[in-house]
Amino acid sequence: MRHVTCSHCNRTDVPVNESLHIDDVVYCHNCVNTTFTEDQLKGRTVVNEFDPTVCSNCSKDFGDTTLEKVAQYPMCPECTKAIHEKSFPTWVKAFFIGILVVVVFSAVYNWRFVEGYKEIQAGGKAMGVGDYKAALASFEAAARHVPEQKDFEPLVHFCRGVTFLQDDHSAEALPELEACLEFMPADYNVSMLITQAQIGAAFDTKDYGLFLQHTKSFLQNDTTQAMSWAGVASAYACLYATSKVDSLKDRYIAYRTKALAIADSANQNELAVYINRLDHRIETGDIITAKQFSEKFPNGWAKN
Amino acid sequence: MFFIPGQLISLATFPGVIVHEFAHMFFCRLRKVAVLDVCYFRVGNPAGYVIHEKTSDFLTTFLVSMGPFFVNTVLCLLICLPAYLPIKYFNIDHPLSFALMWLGVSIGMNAIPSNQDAQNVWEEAKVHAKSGNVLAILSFPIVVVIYIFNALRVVWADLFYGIAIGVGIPSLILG
Repeated sequence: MRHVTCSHCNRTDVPVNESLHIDDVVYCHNCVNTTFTEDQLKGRTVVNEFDPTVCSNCSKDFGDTTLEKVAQYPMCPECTKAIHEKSFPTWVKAFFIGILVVVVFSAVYNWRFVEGYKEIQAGGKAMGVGDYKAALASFEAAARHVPEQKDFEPLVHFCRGVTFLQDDHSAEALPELEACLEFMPADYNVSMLITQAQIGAAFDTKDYGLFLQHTKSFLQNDTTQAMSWAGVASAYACLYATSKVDSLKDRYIAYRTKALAIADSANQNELAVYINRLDHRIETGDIITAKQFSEKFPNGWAKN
Repeated sequence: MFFIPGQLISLATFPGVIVHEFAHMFFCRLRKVAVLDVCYFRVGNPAGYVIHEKTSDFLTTFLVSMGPFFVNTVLCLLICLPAYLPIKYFNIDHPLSFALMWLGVSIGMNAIPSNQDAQNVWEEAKVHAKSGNVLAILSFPIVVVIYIFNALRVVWADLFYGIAIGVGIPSLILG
């Protein structure tokens, strides 16, 4: 251990570690405490010297041996080794492992929401391109993943209804579309789809009076579409085919003419195929579905 | 804005304080820097600290000082991202989701290095920038931002940072 002399009390055996340098003058701790107030030390240079022969960590005295320093602290080899190997306390390790467990838990526990989110995004995209079957599959999967979220149900009903409509299963489409009517935004045109389903269902059950009623209702909603007019023409064609009342044929021709008159280039081909089927119906009295017609007359029907 | 003593904030966000000091300590161990004293959490100012030896290697100084920024930020995001989904997107207010959000945001709130950390980087950056150390040069604006951020803690900058990472980024990702 090394000693210094206090410049204030002149004590010569003050251990270095019990002294302070104030403005380069050496004081023992006692004199510092009795001579200076805290305010008096302000603005002065106070340096705490470390005895290079005493370990700063374990305070062991190494006599005349000068110790290596860690940072500015003289330290014995054991303490140096211990400080370099200082590890995390058990509770900190446990805490951090706990945090990592929470990270994993958060991901695993909420994974079904991630899946549901991805499925809703996929469903929305599929709906955007008119692929309602794919949209239905996505929304059904989302509803399975997040059953507590009831907002998907109308979407599921809507997509299922549209899919049924596309597959010519109008009767099955009807309850699905009715179930989502009050929940879907107006721009989804659910009312129109319901009318379409009612039209299809009436056609399927051969209730052509009801078929006419629904096609007229559909036409009232939108008189600008050629297919709306052609739908009424179709109903009159069915009624004529089953009754052979000429006035019904006249009405068929009137609506057919109007449909052809307002057809635009976008739906001209679709309308031509549809009208071809209706003309076949009028001539032959044979009421068949679009699928049956296309199978029977793959190149269209022509009057001999 | 209203004033809440720092010790109360530390108590409320203690997991973040522990993770912050853990990150300092972790990088000290990784870069073989001697740690003289460490406190992972206490009710006091500062709420935690790691006293370590100085090093002349700038990358080491940078990693030890900035470590909590990376560790706390990443953990905040990893915990909050999945936990925020049911709240934001599915309107499911489950207490567990909010507990996870608190944990994540409290960790995020303690991500920013202290002024002492910034000063350590600044002092070393001054030396190493002269020799063209790119990281040292880039550190100057980072340190300035840290100082500004720490000055803004009185107006809850740390809370806003935690929310930005824990809520803002998930919102951006989820759309």
